[in-house]
Amino acid sequence: MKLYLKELKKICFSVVYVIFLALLIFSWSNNFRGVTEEQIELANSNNDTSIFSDSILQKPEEGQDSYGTMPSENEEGIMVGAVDLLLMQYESNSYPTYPFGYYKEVVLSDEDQNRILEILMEITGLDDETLHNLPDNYFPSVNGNIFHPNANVSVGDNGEYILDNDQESDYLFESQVSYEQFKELMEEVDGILGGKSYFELNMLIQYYGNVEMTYEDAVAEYEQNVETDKVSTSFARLFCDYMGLIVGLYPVFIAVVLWLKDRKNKMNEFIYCKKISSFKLVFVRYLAILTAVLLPIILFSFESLIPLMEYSKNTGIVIDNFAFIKYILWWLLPTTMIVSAIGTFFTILSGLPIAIIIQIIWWFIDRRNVLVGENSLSTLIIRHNTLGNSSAISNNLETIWLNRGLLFGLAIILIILSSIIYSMKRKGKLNIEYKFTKLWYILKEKYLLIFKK
Amino acid sequence: MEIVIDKLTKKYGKKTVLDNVSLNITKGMYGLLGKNGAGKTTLMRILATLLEKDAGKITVCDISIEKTKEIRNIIGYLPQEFSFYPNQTVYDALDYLGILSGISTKERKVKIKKILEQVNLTKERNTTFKHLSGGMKRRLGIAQALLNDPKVLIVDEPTVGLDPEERIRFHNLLTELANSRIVLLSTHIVSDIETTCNNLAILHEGKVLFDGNAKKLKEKATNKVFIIEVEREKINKIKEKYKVINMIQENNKIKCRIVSLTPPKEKHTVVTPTIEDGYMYILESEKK
Repeated sequence: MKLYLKELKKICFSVVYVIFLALLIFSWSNNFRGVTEEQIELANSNNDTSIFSDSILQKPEEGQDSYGTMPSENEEGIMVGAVDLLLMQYESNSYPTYPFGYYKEVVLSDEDQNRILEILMEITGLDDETLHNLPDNYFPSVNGNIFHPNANVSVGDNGEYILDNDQESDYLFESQVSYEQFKELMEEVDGILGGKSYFELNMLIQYYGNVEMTYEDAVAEYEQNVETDKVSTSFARLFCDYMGLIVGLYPVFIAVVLWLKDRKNKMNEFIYCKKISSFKLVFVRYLAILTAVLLPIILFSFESLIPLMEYSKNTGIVIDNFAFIKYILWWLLPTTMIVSAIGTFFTILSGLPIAIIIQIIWWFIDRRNVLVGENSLSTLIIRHNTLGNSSAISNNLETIWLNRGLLFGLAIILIILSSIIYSMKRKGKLNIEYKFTKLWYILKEKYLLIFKK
Repeated sequence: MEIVIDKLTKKYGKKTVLDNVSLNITKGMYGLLGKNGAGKTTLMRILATLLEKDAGKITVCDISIEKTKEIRNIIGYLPQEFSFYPNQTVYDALDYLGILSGISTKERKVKIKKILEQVNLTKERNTTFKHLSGGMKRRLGIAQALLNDPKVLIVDEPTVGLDPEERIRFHNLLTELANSRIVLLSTHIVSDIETTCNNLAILHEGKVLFDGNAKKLKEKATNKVFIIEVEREKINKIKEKYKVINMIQENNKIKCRIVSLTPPKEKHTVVTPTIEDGYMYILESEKK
């Protein structure tokens, strides 16, 4: 216990941890802080005309103008939205894409632009000239996230968009291809754009597949939120979505610095010849890293949990007081474990910070995942960037459990291997560090030379 | 209380660093003398369980060197190059390493207090490592090696970089510690051994050239150490011809202390050898 506290203190007073904490606070503050209170406030007000005013805590009442929307593979909506957007992007030859989760504008060659035009003509059945002179009512005035000039939208006191009820709902667009053919064409468009464009099916569903919920749908969703998710689970998922982005990368820096500190400060030989077992030292340090990473996250969760507990007290709606801790342990712990284990293993093995490069690559690859519902066995960070829509999780539950279990198991294996390697190094049985250092300097010099050129 | 080294061999790739080394080290201060690269540090690191031997047998207080955990429990090691976490205080550094040595909290408190008094660092207990002087850092190094009250204390080149006063203080400390344990001291500075060690070995290119006490080493050079007086301009010729240990300038002449296997042809005086003369004689004989 004493060693654990010493290691924890060592981590918490390091520069790298202070930077980690600053990033964590920045991310939490920018993305999640205040969301819960805002949702409670919205639920307590009755402003149901604002486009972005839906509160998952608001109980639907029969006869409301709108019950919000829900994602669905609404073929008509997806096709009209996709063509509208594609035409806009084609006309400006500016296609936003999000490789690795970051914005990238794609500008196409004449040849590719011609192919996009052919696709547009094939779907609409219109020629080039007609496509450039479409009547105002060819697309819906409000088409997903596209507002045409004829849309009746005003801006509210708080800067929110308010949708007038008398929207023009008729439009002329009529697809000349089947939905299956349309999907193939969109796949081709996404391919031309290099992937991760708005024309991926997941993105199209997210932006244009939403359908108006019926009263029954709204009640079902509300009951799902209140009864199954016990309200707090929805917030816990969104909270863990944001925190996951941080714990999916930064703990590797903490682990690398912690282990390199011994070498940098020439403490290795003092430690090596002490009685402590290698497994105990590696495991205690690992535990200290996990604590240092997850402790502030647990503390931040109270910013959401406390208002929810108060809400529960005022409304009588039962919430799950342990939702945050459950999701932190289920979603964030395995991610933190694997990232810290990679940092520990590769630093002990090589005596170099190569784990940082490995982790950055995995993190970037993983960031290609969409914001909600795309999880596989190799997923590093579980994304669920929305309140509600818990079906995206429940439909994928088995994969998520397998993925989390896999990361947990891999992390434990890496820590056991780290202990074995550390033990061998202590006895002078393994001197692989020398080879890694040599390789590192060769590569460094080579790339520095290229950089200088 | 004894270290028995029998036909120890260690190779780095094709290079033999320790070649059939056999030594018997008993309680008290034992010096390991040799030039840089003689194999002293390799031998010490093997004894400190930080390096594996290739051949031979070693027992430390009747425990085989292969039993690393048991060996680590009875040895204290001060490497040649070391440091601590710069922002850790003297007390915290010892407390941390005490935990790694498996010493209980209660025991640590008592031991650290006692050791700090022993190495004269009580006043500096709350000073951070980066603010200690070179001598204090070395004493802290010894302090950490004493945490587990070791039967064997291994110190590698401990006086490098210390001023003369700190050096004497350090020697006194080691002598005091050698009353109740084996202290194995490696150095390339002969005077470090002269004043402190009962027994010593000379290592040269991985081989033991001498193993015995200081008196025996001096005796080896009896009638082999001479003083010759030469003119200044002839000094280079003398240097080429003999192993010159030191030179003293007197008026226009220089008095050279030399080691020679045969008496020099020049006019000379035979002198009583010191331990340094013995060491130089052994190295010179090896060359021939």
